[in-house]
Amino acid sequence: MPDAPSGMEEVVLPSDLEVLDNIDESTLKYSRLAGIDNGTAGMIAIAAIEAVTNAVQHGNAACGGKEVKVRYEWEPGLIRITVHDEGEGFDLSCVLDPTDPERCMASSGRGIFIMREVMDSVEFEMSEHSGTTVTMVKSA
Amino acid sequence: MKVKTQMEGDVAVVHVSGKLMGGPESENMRDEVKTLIEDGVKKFVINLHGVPWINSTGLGALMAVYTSVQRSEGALALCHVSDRIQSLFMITKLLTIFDTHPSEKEAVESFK
Repeated sequence: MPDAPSGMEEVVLPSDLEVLDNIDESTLKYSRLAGIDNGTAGMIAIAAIEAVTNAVQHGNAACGGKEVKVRYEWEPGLIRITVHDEGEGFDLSCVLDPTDPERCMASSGRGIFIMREVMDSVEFEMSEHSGTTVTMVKSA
Repeated sequence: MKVKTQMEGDVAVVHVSGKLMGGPESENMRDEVKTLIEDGVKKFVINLHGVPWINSTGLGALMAVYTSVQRSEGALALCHVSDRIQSLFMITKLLTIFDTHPSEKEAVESFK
């Protein structure tokens, strides 16, 4: 990893699930640039896909015309992914454990759980007026 | 997302390809299985060969199919599950729910 470069890339995407292929490819690319192995990079891509899915479906409430901003920052052995939407946020205390036997058959409610399981840290910053930002970090 | 079904005896093999990530396209798979259940089919294999990854919404669509099949007292098996989807099943502890097989042949034969 000592030869892995550092860098930053920011993209502004339409609020549409069709961008998820782009998120997948970019996350794999920048994770590998950080010197992260392919298996871990695939898992980081799963977390990034969940973050953008949440931004499109819940944050921006599937409203056309809104945007999702994604920033990748990488350095040797570490990647930080920040996803910003235009929504009003949500109550984190309402996020329940989907592996609880009473909820394991549910058809929704796994996105944030997946992000937290995959990444080393997941932090939310919410504002009624400036949108929601989730910052996720993963080390090699 | 494309959905194509072929019958192997009394087993419906539903081939899914493309993006399983929510939105109207994910309804194709659920509608297909629902129609087959109404036609009396009890045994299902979902072949995910053409699906490299899914998100939690796609996972929800698979859970909805599983629940529909269970309610009709049928059985569901999955095959050609990619490493990334397998990891997602592991994280969400759904590996114990879904019956997964490496190949379509093994999935179909699991009902015998």
